[in-house]
Amino acid sequence: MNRVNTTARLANPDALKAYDDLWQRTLGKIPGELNRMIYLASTRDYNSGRYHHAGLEASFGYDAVKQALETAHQEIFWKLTRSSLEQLVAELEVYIRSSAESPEELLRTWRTLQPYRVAIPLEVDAMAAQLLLSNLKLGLEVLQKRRSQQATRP
Amino acid sequence: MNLVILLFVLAAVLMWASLHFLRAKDRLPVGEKAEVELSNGQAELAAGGDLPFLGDAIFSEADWDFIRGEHSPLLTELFREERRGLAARWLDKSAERIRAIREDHLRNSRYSQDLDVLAELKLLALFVYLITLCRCMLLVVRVAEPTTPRALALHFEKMAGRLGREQGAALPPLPVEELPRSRP
Repeated sequence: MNRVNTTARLANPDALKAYDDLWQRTLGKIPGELNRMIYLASTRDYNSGRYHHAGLEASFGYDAVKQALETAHQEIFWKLTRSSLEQLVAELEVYIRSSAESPEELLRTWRTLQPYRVAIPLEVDAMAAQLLLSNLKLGLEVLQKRRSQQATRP
Repeated sequence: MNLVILLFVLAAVLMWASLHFLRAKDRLPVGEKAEVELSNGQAELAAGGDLPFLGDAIFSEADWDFIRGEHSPLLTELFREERRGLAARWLDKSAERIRAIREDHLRNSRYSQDLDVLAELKLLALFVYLITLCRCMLLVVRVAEPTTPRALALHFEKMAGRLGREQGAALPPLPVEELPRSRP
């Protein structure tokens, strides 16, 4: 991540510390940007949209952690949105490989329910969000098509 | 007959202003006048935010090549459908922003006492040019492949990025006491 931009965004020193801690202990160990975005979205309450992370909050306080999680979420969102379709397909493959579910099951659920829609940060440009969602939809279709071809091969 | 002549003259003035602007676009003075505070939409169009890459991404040739490389008519059709939808929304939104900037500029220019007529004409030509470009691209997106208007889209983004600076050059910042106290 671009450290200069992050430092500029996170004026609160505690938030910056929380952000570094988040990367060192958690995000840095998660494979793939899509995986990270899904993780960060899971720290957000579905109803209120507020981010929560009990471990970090105990060390840095609610406001600092909220800022850190929000910033990381937005940075990863922009990185994925700027990715090409090919790169996004690779991200989806990493996500599928690291999931405990079977690839067929995961692909079926993701194509039907589109759960990735709730992984978009709140304060982002609607057009950019639509681009990422559309690319994820296309990426899933590419993977589905590849799997179908593999299955029909003798 | 007089009306036709008048329309011709107007069209000629617009064309001249447009050509003059296009020739001068690379040597625009960006001085103190350009430091007018921009509203949110203007700031985005002035290439300051995360958004200027959107046109490039929507009309991406690399994505189109990648999808064609999968050799699936269904995927190709889905890609066309998705990108056409995105392109249409992006163009609508861009046209809407340009209109909003124009209205904002008109409202602010009412309070200015030393308008630069040439700069105002250039700006008018730029507004008309950008809106027309948007409409042309909308048409191309509907009838051609999704990446066909890519060059136009990149040119559009570049020109739209200059809109904020052009507006600043045309309209000097108002002293605080001249600003309207409230706006409807």
